[in-house]
Amino acid sequence: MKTTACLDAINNGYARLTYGEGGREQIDVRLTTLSKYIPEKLEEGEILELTISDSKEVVDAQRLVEETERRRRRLKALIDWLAYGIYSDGLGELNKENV
Amino acid sequence: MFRIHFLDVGRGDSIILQFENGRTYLIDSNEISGKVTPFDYLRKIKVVELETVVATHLHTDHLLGLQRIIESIPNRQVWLNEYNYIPNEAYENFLLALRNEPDIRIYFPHSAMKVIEGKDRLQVLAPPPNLLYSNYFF
Repeated sequence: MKTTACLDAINNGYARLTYGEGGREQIDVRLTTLSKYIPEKLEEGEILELTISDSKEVVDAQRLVEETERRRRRLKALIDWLAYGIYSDGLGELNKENV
Repeated sequence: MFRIHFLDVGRGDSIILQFENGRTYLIDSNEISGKVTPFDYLRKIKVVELETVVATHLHTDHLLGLQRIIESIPNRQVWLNEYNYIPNEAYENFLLALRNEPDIRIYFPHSAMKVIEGKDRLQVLAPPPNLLYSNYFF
C-alpha cells in the first residue's frame, strides 16, 4: 500500500509514523529502516510517501519536501492567528480551502 | 471529591481532572481502535462542559480526538505548548476546530503558572517562562 504519512515523533531510535484519516493509523518504525530509503537526517513533522507491506513493514519511503513546507506554513499561520492575532498569507490559503 | 481518570488510550495518554467545584479539565487525547476514546468516556461520565482542554505537546498520540471534543463539548479555554511544534494533521485539524470557536481562549502556560479551582490548586511544571515564542519559530 502506498500512502502519505507524517513522521510524528522520534523516540529512542524509532520513528512514529501516522497516516490514514487524521493520523489514526500509528506505527513505530526503526530509524535505521527508514534510513535505508532516506539517508538524510529526518525531523519530526516531515511528510513522507511510504509503501507499506501487508505486515505493516515499510518497504519504500521518500520525502515530500513541498508538502512538508506547505503544512508548516499553514500551521504557523493558524497558530499566529489564533494565539496572537497575526494574519499571514498562509491563513489566506487556509481560508480558501476551509470556507 | 477531586477525581482523576487515567484512560488507557494505547499510545500517548489522556487524563481527566474533575475538581470539587464541578469544573473538569481534559489533558490530551488519543483515539486508537479497540480502546475507549476520551470523547466517549467524557459522555459516559456525563461531562457536558469542560473548563480547560490541555494539549501537553503536539504529537498525534496526544491530540487525536481533541478536534471532535472542541466541536462537541463546550469549553472555555485551551492550553497549548508551542515549544514542540510538529505540523501533523491532527494538530492542523485541532487548530481549525479552534478557529471556528472564537469564544475559546488560548493560553500557553508555563512553569510560573498556578490555577486555583475551589480548594484545589494546579501547578504547571513546564516549560520555563523564559522560553519565548520568538525564540522558537523559525
